[in-house]
Amino acid sequence: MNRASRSADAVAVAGGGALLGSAFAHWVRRGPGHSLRGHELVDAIVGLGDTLPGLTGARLTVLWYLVPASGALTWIVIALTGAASRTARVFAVVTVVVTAATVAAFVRMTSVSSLGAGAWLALGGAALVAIATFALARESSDA
Amino acid sequence: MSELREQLERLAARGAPGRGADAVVAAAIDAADRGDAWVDQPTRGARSMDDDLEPIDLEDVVVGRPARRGRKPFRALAAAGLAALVGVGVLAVSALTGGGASSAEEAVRKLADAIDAEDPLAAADVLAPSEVRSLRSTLDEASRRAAELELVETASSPLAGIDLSVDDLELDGESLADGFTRVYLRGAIRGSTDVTDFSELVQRAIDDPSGSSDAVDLRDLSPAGIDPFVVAVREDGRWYVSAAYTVLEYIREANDAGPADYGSAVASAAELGAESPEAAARAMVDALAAEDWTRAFSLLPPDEIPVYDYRSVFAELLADTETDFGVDEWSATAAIDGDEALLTVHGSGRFGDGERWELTDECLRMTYTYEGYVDEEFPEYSQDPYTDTTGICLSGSGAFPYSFFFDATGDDSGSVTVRAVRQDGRWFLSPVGTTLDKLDQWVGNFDERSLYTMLDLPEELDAEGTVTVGEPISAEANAAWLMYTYQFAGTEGQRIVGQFATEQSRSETFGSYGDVRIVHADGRTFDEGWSIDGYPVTLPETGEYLIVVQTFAPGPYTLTIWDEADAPAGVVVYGSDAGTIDENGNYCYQPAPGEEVCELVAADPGGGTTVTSIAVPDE
Repeated sequence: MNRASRSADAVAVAGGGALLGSAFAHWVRRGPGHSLRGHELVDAIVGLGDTLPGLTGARLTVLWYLVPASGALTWIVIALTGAASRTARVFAVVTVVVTAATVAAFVRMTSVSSLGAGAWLALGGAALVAIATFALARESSDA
Repeated sequence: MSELREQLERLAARGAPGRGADAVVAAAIDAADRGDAWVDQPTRGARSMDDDLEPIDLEDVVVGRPARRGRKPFRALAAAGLAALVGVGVLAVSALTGGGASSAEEAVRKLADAIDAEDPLAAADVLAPSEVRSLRSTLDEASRRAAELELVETASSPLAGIDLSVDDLELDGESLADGFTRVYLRGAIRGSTDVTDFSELVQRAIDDPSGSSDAVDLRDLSPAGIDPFVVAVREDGRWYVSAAYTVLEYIREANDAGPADYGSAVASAAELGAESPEAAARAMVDALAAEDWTRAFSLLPPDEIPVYDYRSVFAELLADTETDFGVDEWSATAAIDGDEALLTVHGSGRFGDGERWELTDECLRMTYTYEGYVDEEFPEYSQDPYTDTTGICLSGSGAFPYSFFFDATGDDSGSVTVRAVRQDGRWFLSPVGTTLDKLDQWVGNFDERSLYTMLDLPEELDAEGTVTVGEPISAEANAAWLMYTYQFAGTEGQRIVGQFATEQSRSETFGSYGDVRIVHADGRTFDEGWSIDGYPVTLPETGEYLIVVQTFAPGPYTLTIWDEADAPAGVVVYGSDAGTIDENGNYCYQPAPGEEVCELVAADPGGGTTVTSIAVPDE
């Protein structure tokens, strides 16, 4: 196991941690919901029946909880297969899509300027997972 | 990789394969069985160990998968990931139960935290779902509209500039019944405003730019000296703060009434209400006419306004109340959409001594008849019989609060709309839904004229035209109390007076026409300008002014501005050059030097003795 491989794993693990951590951060930094953290905010939104066109409360719940779940699964995938595996790359693509869709839903409900640390943490985490599996892991396999 | 490939190719080129490990083991076993010492011997045809192949160092070869996945750090990572996944799953499952809190006290504390953070969504999350869900869309629309009209900077931050905090909060719960708890509060609420965070429009409307700060003990907020409390209720296993139960409990406590039958309305919903929306409306008016309060309460949605739980309390409070009315005419038609219906209702009847009531034009109108009287000593004070109509309405446009609660929008529908809801197969009349329908309509109709009227910013309105001395203006007000402005160019020292009149509409609630005043073009006021209708006003400087008109009822109006010296007789009603009231109550004025005219004063149809309208002499 070379240094590049270890770096890729470490970056992916960090990305997974960021995705997990977003569940406990504020996804909205001002306006309604700014005092609620991650899952509390989603629970409140769904509990009040707020929806977006084409996005029911149930779908928003599933979508949002997939973000921290992706973080936990990232750790498992890295532990079992490493960042350089095809499994990890496929998983990274799914993570990026899910996270982007969730953040887009929040942008639709509030605005980009109202996004809180949780949303940015999730986006950053997804980006790290993608970088680790596609860029850093490719470098280690070429060595 | 290329070096490894070369080595493997040379190995393959050796031809016959060497001894495998299984052959070596088998030979060793045979030797052991024979009792011989075993020495490894190359098989026939195999190459010797002294060939020219170099050992392949596998330490540096990466064969797709890291060689050390099974070591402790990765096992720990996998375990941590699994534990985190389970945790996320637990959170997701908890989301199925919705918001609220795990206890009554926690619900109140979360509400206090939400108030402290000025977070309406967090507050709504711990308010009873049945009480807030219908309010959500109205508030969202109001926030959006407020942002469009620049009443707030952004719709997502409607409370920007307002800072609330709850200090030293202590809670103490007292169970009322299973699922119902009073939570007593001790502490203080502190509020402050930072005007700089308000929208520019609101900043212009606020006289004091320094902001404000104040704190109030919760005990001071509680009515009737009752220790402050809120009521929390349990729904689907979670606790929520209930505004409805809190209000009803305060009523019960303030009247020292007996306990309520908590939860009975929801529990018996299938037996309450009516079989149809129309039946519910008719049953309600019959129940009120018969003073059957329990029946009336049973027609309200159990989870919206649980007065049915308090039926014994209110029956005791209303025991001496007489409604004294009858129904002569009634019609109700429902448009049903799922579990909701919109009722169109018209009704009329009698009450009291020959008075009449009517449900029409989104109002409950009551017409009082006055018989009049004859004053033999002062016949001029005799009063002919007359009627007076007042009303309380829910209007869908205009400036709050006048045109929302009073007959002020000239509605010609001839009916009243009421919302009904169905629960457990039975229909109930929804006061909250009905009010929110009107509020939604009012928010939708809320425009710049409504906003600038409420903020008293006449200078922000586009003027309707220009006033020329002596030339009447005729126009029409869409709703009561909305501002309409007219430009006027005046000179310093100029004395002007206005003559304002409206066509009396169906509403005679206020008994007078409206208000006309004059301000500087930039909105600055001056002492005499508060009223120009019948009052001569001296203009303080040369420049542009705004004449501001506000009517007390919708409909046509006329306005004429005169130079005081040229004003026709009777225009000047008040002020130093106006007439006087003599000892007999006649109004006397001097239409010309040396002349005096005294005329009968027209009594205010609303009663009283104050002169509010003058019979203008014919020209």
